[in-house]
Amino acid sequence: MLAAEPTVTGSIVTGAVALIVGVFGGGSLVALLRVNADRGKVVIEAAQGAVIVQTSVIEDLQAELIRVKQEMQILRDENTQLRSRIFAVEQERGGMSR
Amino acid sequence: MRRRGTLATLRRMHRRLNDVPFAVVIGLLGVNSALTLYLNPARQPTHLLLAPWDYLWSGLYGIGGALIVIGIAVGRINVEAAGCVAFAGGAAVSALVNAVVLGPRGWNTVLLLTMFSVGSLIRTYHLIRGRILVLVDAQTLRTFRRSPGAGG
Repeated sequence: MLAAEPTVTGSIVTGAVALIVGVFGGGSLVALLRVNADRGKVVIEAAQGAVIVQTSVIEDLQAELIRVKQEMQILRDENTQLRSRIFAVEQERGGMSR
Repeated sequence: MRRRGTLATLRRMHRRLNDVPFAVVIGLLGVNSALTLYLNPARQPTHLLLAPWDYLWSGLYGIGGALIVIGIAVGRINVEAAGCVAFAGGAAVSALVNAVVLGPRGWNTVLLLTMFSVGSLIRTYHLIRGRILVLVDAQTLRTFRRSPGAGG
């Protein structure tokens, strides 16, 4: 059986417990009232349930999109160059056949 | 129509709780400690040392645990954060009381309860920063990484 001694230690512990309960109880209320429930997340409600995407994931996807756009631009430029070269070659061949 | 909406809400709550079972069980630990005090006070060291103030502690611990579970179920991080803070307080009081009542013999219990308290505060910090627990299918992530053009 556990036994506690009703000494000065008991009153110190009671004081410490009251302090902890006060601080954490107050902190709990502050968290309940002040924490922004929708901070830093996007909730997409779908038919099968909710998908929660964090801001960091969206930022990664945006960076990925920018990279793909740049790559696409490079490919477009190369395509334009190749088209113009083909056009020039065809012109040349046309001139030679005449 | 209304019943369908309620069923969908219940299904969502079930899915959220099912996604993070470990956090839910930790929340229920707080509720269980509070219940133990009400049902069998002699088994709680806090009752021996703090009575009648032990009910204040059990309220903090029990409500904290319940708020963690409710916060996860309804998807409200402020409710979960409030629960985590209250739970941290309850665990800290429990650690203190166990240290006084059990002395050096109860070092492992005190250490575990302290870790619960600190862990709960760390979780609160994450929630305040907008970081939440999400179940992600690793297979899908691997597929995304392997797909051509995907970074990483």
